Amino acid sequence: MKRYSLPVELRVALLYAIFGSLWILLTDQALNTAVSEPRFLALMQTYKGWAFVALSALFIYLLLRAESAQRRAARRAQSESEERYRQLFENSMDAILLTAPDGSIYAANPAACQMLERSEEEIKQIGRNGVVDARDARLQAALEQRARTGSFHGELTFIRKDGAKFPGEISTNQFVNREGLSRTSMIIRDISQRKQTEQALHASQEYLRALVDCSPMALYSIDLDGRVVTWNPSAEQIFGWSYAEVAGQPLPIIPADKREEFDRLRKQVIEGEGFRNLIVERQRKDGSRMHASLSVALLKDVENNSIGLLGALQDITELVQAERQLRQYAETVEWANIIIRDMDSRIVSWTSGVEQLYGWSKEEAVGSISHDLLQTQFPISREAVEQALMTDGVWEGELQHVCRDGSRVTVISHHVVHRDLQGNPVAILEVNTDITERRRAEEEVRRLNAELERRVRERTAKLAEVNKELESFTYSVSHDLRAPLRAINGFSQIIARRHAAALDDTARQYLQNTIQASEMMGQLIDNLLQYSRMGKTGMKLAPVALKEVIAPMAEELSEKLASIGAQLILPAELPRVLGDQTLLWQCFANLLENAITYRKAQVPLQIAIDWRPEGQMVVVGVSDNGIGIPAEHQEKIFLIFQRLHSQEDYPGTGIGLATVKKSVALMNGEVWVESQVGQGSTFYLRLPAA
Amino acid sequence: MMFPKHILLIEDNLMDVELTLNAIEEVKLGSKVKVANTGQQALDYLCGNGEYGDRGVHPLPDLILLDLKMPGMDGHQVLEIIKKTPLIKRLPVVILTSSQEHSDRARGYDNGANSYVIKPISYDGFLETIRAIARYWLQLNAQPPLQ
Repeated sequence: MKRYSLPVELRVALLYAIFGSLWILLTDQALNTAVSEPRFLALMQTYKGWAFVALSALFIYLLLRAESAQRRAARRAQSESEERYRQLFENSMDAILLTAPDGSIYAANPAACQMLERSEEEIKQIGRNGVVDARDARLQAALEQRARTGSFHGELTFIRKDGAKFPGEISTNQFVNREGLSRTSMIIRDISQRKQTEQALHASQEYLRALVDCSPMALYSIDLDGRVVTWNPSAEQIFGWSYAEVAGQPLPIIPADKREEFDRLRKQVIEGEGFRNLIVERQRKDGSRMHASLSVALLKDVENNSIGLLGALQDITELVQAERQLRQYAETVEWANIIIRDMDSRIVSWTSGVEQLYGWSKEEAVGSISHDLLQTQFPISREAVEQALMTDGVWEGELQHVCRDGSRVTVISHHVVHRDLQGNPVAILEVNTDITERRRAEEEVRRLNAELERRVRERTAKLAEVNKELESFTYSVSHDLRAPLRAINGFSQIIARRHAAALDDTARQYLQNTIQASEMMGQLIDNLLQYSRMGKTGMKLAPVALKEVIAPMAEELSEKLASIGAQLILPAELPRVLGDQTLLWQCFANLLENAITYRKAQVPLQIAIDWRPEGQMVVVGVSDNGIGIPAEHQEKIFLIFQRLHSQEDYPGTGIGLATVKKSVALMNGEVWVESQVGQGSTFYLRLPAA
Repeated sequence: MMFPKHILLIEDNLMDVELTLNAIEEVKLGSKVKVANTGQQALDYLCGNGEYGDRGVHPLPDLILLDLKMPGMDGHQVLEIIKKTPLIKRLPVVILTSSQEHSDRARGYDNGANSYVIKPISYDGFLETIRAIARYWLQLNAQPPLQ
């Protein structure tokens, strides 16, 4: 609730009225009471009136004096205030503009004139729009805020006389002057310098940040208690801990056995003794150790108080390993067979390796002419070697050297010309690999090879001779045995045909036996010859349609099968196999013949051929319902001349299944039988599919 | 009745000769057989040398049955000479041998044999063989014109 203050004049009037009324009332009453004489009463009234006037005059005097004093004081205070304000206005280092809300300027202090590079009159003339950049997007918001709240503090863009813009910090307030008019004040500070400084500082900070972030070294800082404050990306990468994991925590990279060293170094740095490139051991998050080059410096604030330590660490694990390897390499090289000679072939370097190879010590060798010392034998002239070396920069060839003890060595020698920065040849590096033993071994191998070849030739000749003898034997068997056999059979037959009447029954029977025996022997000889010749000549492995082998065979056997009431069942389709047509014919002919031969007496023979694929092979089965084969004989029936029955029971030569087995083997297949006595047999042939 | 055909049998084995003659007789094709026991004798006959000069008495055969394994000049040599001799090179030569050797067959055909027949061991088979040879070469086959 607003306090209402009466004006002083009204207060005085009211007080006078109240006092006057009370005086009149009280004094009249008192006089009426105290004085009964009318003339005395009138006199007393007159005296009372004079007293009232005197008191009123005194009252008025006192009031007016107080008022006057107050006014003088107020005028004095105002005058002092105005003077202070004027001083402030005139001497302020900030620009002060006294403006109206509409933007007109009615006063500008010297600082404003200097800042804006205009006179006060010019400033007053151009108004706010001439000094504040109207295109500054913040201007409208600032005016609105000032209108709303009465003040605004912020940054705007200002314009000098030459049009140059500059950033300024502005504080503007709205007020009402003595005349009751709304006025505004603008205090402007040119912050160009500050902005530049800020930008420079920001740029510097950005530069530092980028430097720290992109540094390949791990850069980190810890406070005086050893807790991590900063941790750059390289530190994350090198050690494995992220910033979030280490911030505020004790530095985790110190191995337990290095803690004491770390504390000692920390204390040393805090005491003012930083260090650089100290080789230390640190650990990664995964527990692995690393070698590092560490530099540490003390961090201080603006007041030069120590606030922490800055560490710069470079992982030199690889460097250490490389140095180790280099050292090992150097040790190895020392034992390599390397000679360095100058352009006059004088030895300048002689490793322990060549010392061992040739027997000459460093002291004996250095300074000597290398080809003289080693009595080198070149494959071409030494001059030609040197020429090639100078032309190509390298030369390689086989050399013969004589060692200190007189023994000879053969080396593969690799020469390289070493040149200085101007390209002039200054030395020759010679690397010699001792191949003496290798050459000896090669010679031995050559000798053994020659011996082997001689033996192979001899054996081949012997084998050829044996083969020839075998062929001759086969020829003899095929010709010389058959001729007399034919005579035996032929003449026996002639006798049986023409002279049977002259013979008795026994003689005729014996004659028949002779005929049968000779025929059987002939069959045996033919089968044996066929078996022995298998695979020797004319075998060709090619795709063969089994249909083209079995169908004609079935046709050929049809009469014979019909005559014995037998049935041959074939599948609708037969596969193609990789084989020899003739051998396949022999196989199936033998199997079918066997099925016919070894049939059960009273049971009509049934032969079935079937097949199935098996990967890249084909399995063909020839089944019969014949007499079957006992399990214990199922392997030996494939051996030559192995028969399970007598000739009288089941005629045969005992070569058929051996022929089948050999034929199938020659075609990279296999044959086996599954059989039960009295149930029949199934012969399986596994052959490559085509 | 057909004109009788002449066969020259070149065979050194007397038993084989006997069997062959018996077989030829049994097949009853009315052939006349001249036997030469050696290659030289066969060539002399074919070339009309010496006692074989009279072609009226010793006519050229319509068919030569030639064994391979003979002492001295073997059947391959005889064949080679026959097939190189202009007067007789067209005469059909059937090699009749026990040899089943691939090399003998190859050489025989290379030298120009008209046929290669393996003598069966069994007499019945031999009869059938002779019958087939005679029927084909003496009855079915048209004789070559001689120069």
